[in-house]
Amino acid sequence: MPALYSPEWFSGFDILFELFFALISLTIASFAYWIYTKSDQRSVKSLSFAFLLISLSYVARSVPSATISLYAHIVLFLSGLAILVSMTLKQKKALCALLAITLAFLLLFSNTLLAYYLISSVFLVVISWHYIQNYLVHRQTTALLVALAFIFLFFGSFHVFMSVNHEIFYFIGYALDLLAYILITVNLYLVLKK
Amino acid sequence: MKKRDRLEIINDILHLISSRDAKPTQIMYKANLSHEMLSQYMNELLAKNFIIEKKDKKGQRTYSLAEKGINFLRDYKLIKNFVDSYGLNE
Repeated sequence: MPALYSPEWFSGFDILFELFFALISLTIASFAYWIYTKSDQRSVKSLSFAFLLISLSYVARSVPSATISLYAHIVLFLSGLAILVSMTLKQKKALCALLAITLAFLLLFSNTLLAYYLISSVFLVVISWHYIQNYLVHRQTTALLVALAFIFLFFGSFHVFMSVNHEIFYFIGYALDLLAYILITVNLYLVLKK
Repeated sequence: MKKRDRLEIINDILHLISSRDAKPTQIMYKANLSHEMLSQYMNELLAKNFIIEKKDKKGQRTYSLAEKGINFLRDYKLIKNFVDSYGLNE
């Protein structure tokens, strides 16, 4: 598997970005778990677990120059997204099928990194669509922020997928992810403030 | 009238019980639920320790809030905002 191509001038900053994403994801996971203890809603517990996996995936990716950390990032990040997709489908059995398909795709595809970006892009399209529909139902700013955040994550992932060897596109992918996590943070602030 | 989601129905039931202990029929009419829906929600709220079931001398059931139910009502707005923002209604 080829390593992620990080431009020299961006080296070090990407680790800071990833640690920031990990921190925000962990905050959402912790807050969702706190909401779960109050509400006993299974979907909230699933969201908490999904964000915990996503947070761990960024921690794994922040370990420099280790192929195993990149594999760990891929498995953890796609597992987190698969949980979010299964939640949107509202099918208990969907998660097992999604994980099996993901694993098969990663193993069968000769370029694991491209397979990762392809699968995460597909997952993020499904998740974004769910959050757009959620916004159309509730018409709330917070729902819009979450929808926009996942759309940015999709473009961030799709962007890198389309341009894995271009320095500036690599940076734009990170910038879009940063924007997404800023929106997720603003959403949490508004939820707490309301 | 907008259809209530699951969280809103739970909030309505707990809110009714919070003012004073209530009988199943009182909850059913005031919360505007069918008998089947009421049974479903009350069983769930009992199982999750949101409410406590008591029986009087005549064997009639009444319900009161448990600590978890009180906490739910206190944090309802926060729970609802978060659940709505992520479309987590069950």
